[in-house]
Amino acid sequence: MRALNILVVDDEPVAAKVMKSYLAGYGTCDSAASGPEAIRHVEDYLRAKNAMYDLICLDINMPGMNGHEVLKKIHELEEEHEIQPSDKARVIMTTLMDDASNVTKAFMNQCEIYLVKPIRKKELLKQLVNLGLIDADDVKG
Amino acid sequence: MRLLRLKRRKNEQDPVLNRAEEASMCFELDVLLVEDRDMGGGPGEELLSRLGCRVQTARDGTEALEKLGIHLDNLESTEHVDRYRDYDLVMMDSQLPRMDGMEACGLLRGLEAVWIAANRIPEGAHLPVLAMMATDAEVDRACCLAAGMDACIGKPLAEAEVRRALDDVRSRCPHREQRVESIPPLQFDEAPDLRFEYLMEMVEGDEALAKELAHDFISVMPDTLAALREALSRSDADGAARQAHKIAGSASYMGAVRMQETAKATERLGRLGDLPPCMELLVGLERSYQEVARIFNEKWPAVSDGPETRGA
Repeated sequence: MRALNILVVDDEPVAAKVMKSYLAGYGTCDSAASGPEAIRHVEDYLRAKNAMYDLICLDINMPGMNGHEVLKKIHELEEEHEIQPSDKARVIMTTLMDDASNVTKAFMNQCEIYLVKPIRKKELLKQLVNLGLIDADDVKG
Repeated sequence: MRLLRLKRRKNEQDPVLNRAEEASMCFELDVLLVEDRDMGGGPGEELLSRLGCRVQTARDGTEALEKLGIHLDNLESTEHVDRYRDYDLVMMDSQLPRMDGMEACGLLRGLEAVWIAANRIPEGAHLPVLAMMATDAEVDRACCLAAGMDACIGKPLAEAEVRRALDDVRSRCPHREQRVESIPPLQFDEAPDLRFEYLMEMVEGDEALAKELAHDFISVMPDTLAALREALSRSDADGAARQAHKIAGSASYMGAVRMQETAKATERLGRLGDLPPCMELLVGLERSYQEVARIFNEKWPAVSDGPETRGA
């Protein structure tokens, strides 16, 4: 199994820890507690590796810069660094916002998956399989 | 609208009572019943028909969406939006092949917003979706509600419960062409402070992780509550909504049901700029937090002080 490079973005520590615990064992996990911090991580990663994270789990409601803005900026940075479509980050929105306008906005900004908190491990892993990031055989209990 | 002729079994001698009973039994709703089973008259379909509903069926989420005029290969199209307007209610298994009920409902909610924006359906249109669940696990229920379903009912279907649900739908949308107000959130007046089993289900039995989360929750929450109090005292509605949102997010993972619901209510009021009731809700949040912390400390002595070394 390929080890994934993951960024978890959430300003709320309990949710961030839960996501990281779910993803432990599937790769290395950076975390950011705000939008600007997430952008810094992405910029640093692009500079250092000239590649993109495999997976970004992105909260929406954060102070300063919300998840929609972060998502747009991520795509801009990918364009700037000429990351090929197949190498772009897969972005899963992980949020408590379950209203239609947030959901549609996120999909219009080209997130891949939209999950509403509380998120269960099996649901997250199912989506990683759907996205082709892990094989169904790799799913650990 | 077609009137249903009910077989009169009881009260044969009292026509007035019979008419009243018929009226209350005859819901005249168009229901899309989505179940993972072969097509044909199953008990759900039979029950709904007996209650005066016109029933269409689908076997999975994809087929249900198609019946509602949504084609996954062409989501932009509003060509078949009329089909959506043909239904008053969707009753759907939460677990389904191909696309499950939660995914289908999430997609439906997103498209409703798009169709409203495109003036294809009226402002506030909201097709009620009832999840049918074979389990009564709180976490499944919460996932269904989070996916945009309006309520959950148990399976196998119990007539009394189905009637209550249909009655509720009928009272909220007397006629689908009229403006349909969005469904008010469920009330959790009697919500417990902590559903411990919910937390353990969330961490899939990993007690060390549960303890760590409890520690984080107990240690971070006083600052968040203080920030909420601060925002309210400054009449900063946005700030208050944001802090309340954080509290609801943490509480949702911990099974701190009362805090979660109270924080959600606070967030909604904050977004509306209606701050006076928020102070009262904050007192409730603080009280519930104390209770949650007490229960965790009782369960795991010294959990407030620090986590045990994970994996040690």
